[in-house]
Amino acid sequence: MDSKQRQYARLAAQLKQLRENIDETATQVELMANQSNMITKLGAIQSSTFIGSNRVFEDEMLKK
Amino acid sequence: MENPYEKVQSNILARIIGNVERLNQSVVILNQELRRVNAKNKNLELMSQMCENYRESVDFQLQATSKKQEPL
Repeated sequence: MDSKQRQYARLAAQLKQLRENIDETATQVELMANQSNMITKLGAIQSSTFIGSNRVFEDEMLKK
Repeated sequence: MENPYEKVQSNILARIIGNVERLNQSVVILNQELRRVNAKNKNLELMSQMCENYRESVDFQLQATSKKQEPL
């Protein structure tokens, strides 16, 4: 009986820590999703800049 | 009257506790790696914010001077 109570106490402690760890994981994954969105924006801006500068360059070349 | 399944239950409980402990260790490692990756991507996030602010500024400037052209 005593041994079983000890086992259950240990299991409870482990599960409590597991819950804390998984909360931390959720926070980190949310942060990561936010960063992913921002990096997508960065890619879109860079490609727009590239296309725009290519167009300007072509205009400059054709003018001459 | 001794419960004949006492021993089996105790063994199963011990296995469950061991597995939860291993799971906990794995989740701790996962958290460490996630923290590391997020810290490494922090600069990229800042750069993205800067570019986005610059784009908004350019957009506003072009609209204010009504030089904004239609896309192709």
